[in-house]
Amino acid sequence: MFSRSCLRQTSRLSRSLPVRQAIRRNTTDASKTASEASQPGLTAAAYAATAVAIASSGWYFYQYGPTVHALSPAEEGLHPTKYPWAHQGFLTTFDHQALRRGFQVYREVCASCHSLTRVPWRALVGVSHTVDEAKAMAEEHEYDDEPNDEGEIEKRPGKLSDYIPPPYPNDQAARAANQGALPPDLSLIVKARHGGCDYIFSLLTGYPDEPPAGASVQEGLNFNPYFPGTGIAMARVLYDGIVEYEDGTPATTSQMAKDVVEFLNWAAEPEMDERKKMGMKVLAVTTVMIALSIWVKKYKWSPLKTRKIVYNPPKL
Amino acid sequence: MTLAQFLSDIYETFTVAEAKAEAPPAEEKEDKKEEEEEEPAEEKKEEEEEEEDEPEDVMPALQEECQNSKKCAPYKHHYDECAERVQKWEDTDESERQGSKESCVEEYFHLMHCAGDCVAPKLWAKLK
Repeated sequence: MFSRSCLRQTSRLSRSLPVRQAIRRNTTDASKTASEASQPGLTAAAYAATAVAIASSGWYFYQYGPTVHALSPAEEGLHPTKYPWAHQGFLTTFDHQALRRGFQVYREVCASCHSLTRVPWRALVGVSHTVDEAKAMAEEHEYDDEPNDEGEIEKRPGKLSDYIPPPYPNDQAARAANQGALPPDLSLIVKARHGGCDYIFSLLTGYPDEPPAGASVQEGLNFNPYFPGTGIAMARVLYDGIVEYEDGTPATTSQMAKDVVEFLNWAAEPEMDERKKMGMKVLAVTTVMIALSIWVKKYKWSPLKTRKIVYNPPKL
Repeated sequence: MTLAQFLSDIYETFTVAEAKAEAPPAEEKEDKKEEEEEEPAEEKKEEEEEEEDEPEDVMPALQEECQNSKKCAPYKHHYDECAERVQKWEDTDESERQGSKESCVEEYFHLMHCAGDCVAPKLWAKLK
């Protein structure tokens, strides 16, 4: 680059001179000698600059290049597989048959340790159960009644407005019953874990028959690759045929896991079906408005767009 | 999402499907009779299924198949090799052991990650 720009300068110089031919040889000679004199220093500087550039960027990547992991892969846990959930489409609803089956799995399997405190019985009505079914289930449980005339609190059977009762009265009782491990509340668990549905499905179905070779599993914990740290206090609970579905679906481990995860997703965002419907309505209304606005614009601008300005010069 | 599914979703969105919170009233006797006529056949089928044995999960079989597939072969190979090393380490006497105990968790993760991607669509096709 540098030498080429030198040449350009000299040629410009030669062109400006009156006697081109005669002087050209002299000027080129002169430029050659000048560049020969200046180049060793410049070349050295170029090499040095390049070396410094490489070294500094190398130093930078040495310092900041490699990603630093605070956790080893085992500590971080295996990232869950992405499953093609039917309800995760833009316009797809929950499979309400699956919700009903999922609630059955929750009630018969999970509910012995996990609470679902944010879901009232009434929420199930029209979603997975009829009013009568939900009422019957609520009545199976006892709740504190209003104080009576003596100020004593009596028990009454549950109503639709009551919330699904937790298995333990408080967290301490839950820990005490589970060797110090607290079974989390499942109301919002799908939203509360990285990976959501995929994570919970993977966790429920991911218990290997035996931990991989050389893996250390602490006393009282179970190996599950998807749980951060791989040691989870919850043992595998879903076994083939542990639940008998009323609709005759074979209750395999993966089927139950799928149903219960879908149910838990519903518990975490019961508004999903309505939300997607609302989104569709918004889109529909917007398209109508856009079409209307285009027609209105066309109408309003038509006098302007169709007018013609004519200039007839006066005849001289 | 296929185009057909998208269109059917739109259709479902704009048409009103009646959702009943109450159980259907007992007046519809005629319908029920028809249903009853149909039901026994179905029930028989279900009973036959129940009689056979406990339902068997397709997932472990799919996982096995996927782990042995060509795509996951390298991961399977690495895991098996690691398991072998660990077994060897455990078999040798404590005085002769070299290095600390190895864990194959990472190899297992890679294998399961590969198998999981392979299992997911196949499993969903079979589940209800």
